[in-house]
Amino acid sequence: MADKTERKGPNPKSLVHDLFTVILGGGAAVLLATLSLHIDTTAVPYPFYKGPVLFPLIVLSTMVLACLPAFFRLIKRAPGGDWYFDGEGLPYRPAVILVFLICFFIFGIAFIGVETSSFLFLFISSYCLGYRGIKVIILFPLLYTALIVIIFKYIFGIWFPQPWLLGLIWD
Amino acid sequence: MLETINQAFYHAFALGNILALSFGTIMGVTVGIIPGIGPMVGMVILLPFTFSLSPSIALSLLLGVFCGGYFGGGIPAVLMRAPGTPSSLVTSFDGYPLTQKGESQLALSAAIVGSFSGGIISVFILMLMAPVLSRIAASFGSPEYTMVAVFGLVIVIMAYRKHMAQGFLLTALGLWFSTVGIDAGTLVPRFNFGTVQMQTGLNIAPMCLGFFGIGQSLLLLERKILQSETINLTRRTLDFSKLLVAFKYRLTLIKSAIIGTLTGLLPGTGSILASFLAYTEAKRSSKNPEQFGTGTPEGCLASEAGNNAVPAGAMIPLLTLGIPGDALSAILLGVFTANAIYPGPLLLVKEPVLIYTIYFSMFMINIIAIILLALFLRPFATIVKLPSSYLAICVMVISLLGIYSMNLQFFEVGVAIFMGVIGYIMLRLEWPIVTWVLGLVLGPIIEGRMRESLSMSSGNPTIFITRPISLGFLIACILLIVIPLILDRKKKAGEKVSLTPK
Repeated sequence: MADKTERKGPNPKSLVHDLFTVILGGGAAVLLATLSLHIDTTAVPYPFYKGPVLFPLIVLSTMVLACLPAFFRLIKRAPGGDWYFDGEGLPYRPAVILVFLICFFIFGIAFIGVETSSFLFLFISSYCLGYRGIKVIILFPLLYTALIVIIFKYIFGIWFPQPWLLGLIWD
Repeated sequence: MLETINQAFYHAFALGNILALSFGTIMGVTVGIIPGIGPMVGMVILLPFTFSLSPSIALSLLLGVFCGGYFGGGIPAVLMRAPGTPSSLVTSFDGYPLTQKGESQLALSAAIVGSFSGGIISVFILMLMAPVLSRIAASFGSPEYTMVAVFGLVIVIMAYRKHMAQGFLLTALGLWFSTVGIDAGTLVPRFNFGTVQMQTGLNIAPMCLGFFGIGQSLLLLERKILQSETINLTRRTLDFSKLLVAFKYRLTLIKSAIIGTLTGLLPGTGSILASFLAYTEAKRSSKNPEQFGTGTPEGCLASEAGNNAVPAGAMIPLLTLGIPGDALSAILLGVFTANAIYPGPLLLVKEPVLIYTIYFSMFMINIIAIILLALFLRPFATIVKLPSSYLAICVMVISLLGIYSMNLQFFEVGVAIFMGVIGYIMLRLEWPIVTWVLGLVLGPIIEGRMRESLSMSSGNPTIFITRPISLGFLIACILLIVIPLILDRKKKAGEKVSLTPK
């Protein structure tokens, strides 16, 4: 009855874990090295223990320390460790949807308006995800868009920017 | 006291609160039923809307999702062996075999009665334990609070010790995110990278919504978590005659609820452990232990009572110490602090009406959930047929518009998308992301209390080891880290010895 996709989960010894750990720890190390650029301590008359630097210093140092074992494993190529992660491949679908999200919800709303952006995002995303029925790719996005516009614009009274493209056409 | 209860009763039964409770519960049950979504996503979707509501209504709404999610999780576990929430996995051990025998109504009755009883009993325990714990916590000073918060973090990190380094890393990352913006103590801007928007700090809502809502949705796009065409349910409603059968196991219900509440009280232990412990104890003390795993209503009942008692258990450290034990209660802490209400031992003294309103609301959530599921069982169960990837894109749209509507800033939409990418990576890596949100929420508390402690001692850090309670928590932190590591090492050494040919 239920066809549950069996997943083994990610390989806990995969070097991918170490790579991401080192990326985060490396970022923390960069911030730690450039701390004086991010926190202005010159105008602060407080002693160090009351100042704004102590806590970020502890936190960033913890991040760097936490990534050290992974860093050494990456360098030494620890036995048993490989790059095999979970066998599910690269995240093409999420990457494509992410591009649409950025296009339609950061830039799109200002250019074409919230209604058109939401509808187009749902329409194009559902098409890219493999849906082909008219109901699913056109009718439902239309209804869903109408519902969220009613909720956000008319019930909550949220202001959305006047679509730039619409303004251009009207002018 | 009576005046307080009277006022709380009035607040709890006000129309706005009832509507919030009902909506929250419906949303909770719905997201609980859908495998892969869960109450966390439901809570973060509603989070932006709660900032314009009064604290009691906002908390009722989110508590509805929190508790309702556990109710819903049992349904697909029983009908399809696909737990809606991870903790409902244990329910499927007996629920699904019962469904296969044509006894799905009995299994669902047991699961729903278990959830209801677990929820109600745990609220009673919360009402009894919270004042006691807050009286103890009232003697705490800043050093003790600092160490309690650190203890909370350590216990959560160690709960995921398979990824201990990542646990520390994510906790520290959460703590670092909490430092972005103007420092409350010195008014010095930190880590704003030259942007005006980051001067006031990063708002918790877009970060959590991005991390959990968008991240989880991106994950759902590539994973077909559940595919089901049919649902094995003979009636539209619950078979009420079966409800009485479930009430036969009163002792199991009470024991499971107590186990669940106490497990929820410990940070990081989570509802999976609660349902598993409750199930194991029920099996151990049952007259028919051999029936467990082959389809007994007692198993479903114990597991669901255990996991549904967790929300009230998690509220105990949150309300009395201001320390959330899991990601869901961390979100609730965010709502408290956004309304300038700071949970801790004085909360019960300062805001007694709010506290009693929360208690009444939690009772009502359980009542609303059982009524909803009893009357509309099939419509709710049908939700699992929705395609998860389609649902994911709908969640993204409502999440991003919700984020924009908070402060009308596209910058925050960008933050949510950025956090969504990080959340997706962490979820795919199966790192303990709960530690990130705890770090984020506890960061300002730890920093503020640590600064106060050091000011008390003129910068001398020995203040943390010269005060007995603080020292006690520090030792507990060290033991929590060291003992499991030693045990793991011994276990590994033992395995090596047994593998060596003689």
